[in-house]
Amino acid sequence: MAQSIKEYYESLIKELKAEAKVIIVDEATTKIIFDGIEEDLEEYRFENQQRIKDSQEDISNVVFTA
Amino acid sequence: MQLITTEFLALNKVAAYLDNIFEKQYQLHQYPRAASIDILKKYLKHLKTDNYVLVEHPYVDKVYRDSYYHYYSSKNQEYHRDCVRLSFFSKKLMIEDFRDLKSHPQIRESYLGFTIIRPTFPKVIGRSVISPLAVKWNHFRICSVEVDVTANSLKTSVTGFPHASQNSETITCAETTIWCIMEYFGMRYPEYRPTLPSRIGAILASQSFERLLPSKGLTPQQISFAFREFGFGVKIYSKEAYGDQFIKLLKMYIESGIPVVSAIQNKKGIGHAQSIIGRARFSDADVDALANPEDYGNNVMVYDFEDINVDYVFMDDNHPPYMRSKLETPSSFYKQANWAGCVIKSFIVPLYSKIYMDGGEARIFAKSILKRYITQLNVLKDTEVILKVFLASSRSYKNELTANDSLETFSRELLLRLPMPKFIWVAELSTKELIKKNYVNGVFILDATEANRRGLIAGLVGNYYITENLNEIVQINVPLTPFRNYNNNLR
Repeated sequence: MAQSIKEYYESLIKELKAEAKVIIVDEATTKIIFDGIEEDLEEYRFENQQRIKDSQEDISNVVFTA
Repeated sequence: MQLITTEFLALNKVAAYLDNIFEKQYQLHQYPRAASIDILKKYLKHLKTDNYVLVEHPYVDKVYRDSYYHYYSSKNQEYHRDCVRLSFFSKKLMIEDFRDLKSHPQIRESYLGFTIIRPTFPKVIGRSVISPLAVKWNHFRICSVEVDVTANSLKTSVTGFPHASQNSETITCAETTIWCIMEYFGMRYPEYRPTLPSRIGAILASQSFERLLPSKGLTPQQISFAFREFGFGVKIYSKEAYGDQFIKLLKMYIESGIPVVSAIQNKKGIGHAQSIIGRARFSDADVDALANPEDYGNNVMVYDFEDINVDYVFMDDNHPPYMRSKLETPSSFYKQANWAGCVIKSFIVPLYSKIYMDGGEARIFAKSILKRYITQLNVLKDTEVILKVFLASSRSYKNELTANDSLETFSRELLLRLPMPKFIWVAELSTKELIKKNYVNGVFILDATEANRRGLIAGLVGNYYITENLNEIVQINVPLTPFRNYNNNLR
């Protein structure tokens, strides 16, 4: 069976002879964090789509010659 | 056949010597000669006065010859095909030293780069790579590349950024900027190749409904198209669309060691392309002046690194290399009245084609993670944070990590064992006191190929190593003390 992420890090801690403990953050907190990040990215992407459209209009009327 | 003549001169003797070459070798009349020498003098004035110069003539320059064979040779009037090469040195040398094996190390050590003088009178300044050590103001950090060259037949090298002036016929500011940036990438990374003006024209010809020679300039779309054809994944940002994020995004890309094409305009009809390649080194006072932090919760006050107000380094084809100005006033080094009031209206970033997360997303992502980890995992409290987000190649980043003994071994090994894509976004956390010493006390590494929630590769923050795996967040306690920041993008 494949190693879980927790087992992987525990074996690495052992290999490196470090004193550390692996914690998997509880599901509820993980969901709040992931949902929050997703929300922030979505909001940015929505605004960005309009920005990209506006950018195209802005840059289409200039020629660099000077 | 004309044999090569060489002369070693103090910098202040070069103009008179070239005046003589222009008259004798190019049969140039007084008026164009005086105009050419005037332009040359303005260029040399930018260099340190104690530089010495090796003058070689005739010199075959690949870029000028390209324009010559594709354009000038088809004209009725006679155009010369040979150039003059100026090589700069920090020490006085004798011509005989170049044939003395024992002198070779000191010649190479004192070599500061070259400038080609082409017979496109009066706009005679051709391509160059000049070491920042040769110019009067060099308190800056830029993206640079080591270029192999010869001087009086001796192989040597110089580290700097390629520059050229426009001749207004085969190349204007836009083509020159493309050429300089391709020269940089082509000499620095195996994925790209240096190019020539005729190749830029050939690429654009497929998209153009009008002739491209004599050049009448390019649009931002044409510049972007050329970079795309050269293998980049190009992004264009406009000031109107990005508002107050515009300058911050520009600074992020410059901090990433990517030369950026800035498109400047004013209401007097100027439309001009420049490249921005670095920034002035900041002082302690510049850091202390950082203001208006944002509260991320737990009394953690976050400043944007991009709010540090310093000069930036411009490569402008109407001026010598390494001009300085604020990003808000990109034409401040122009004396002519019609250049007043220029602002950067848009900028073009030649990105590696597999960087899917752009600067804006990386910035939002880094801020969002920091905010959530502070409020949900209490990784930080009662502190200030300066957040700096930039791109780095994972190869360079890991290489620097291996040598970064200021980062404790366990934390370092945790980061080094992580599989990473070719490019990563790095979000470094520091404080005002730490950043003055080039130290940080936290970092997030983001996957530049993932523009979604799964973009975090790992982070060190507070006293934790944090990584994510599908729907899990893994937290490991590590003894984290301040460590040296990543310093390889701008040198």
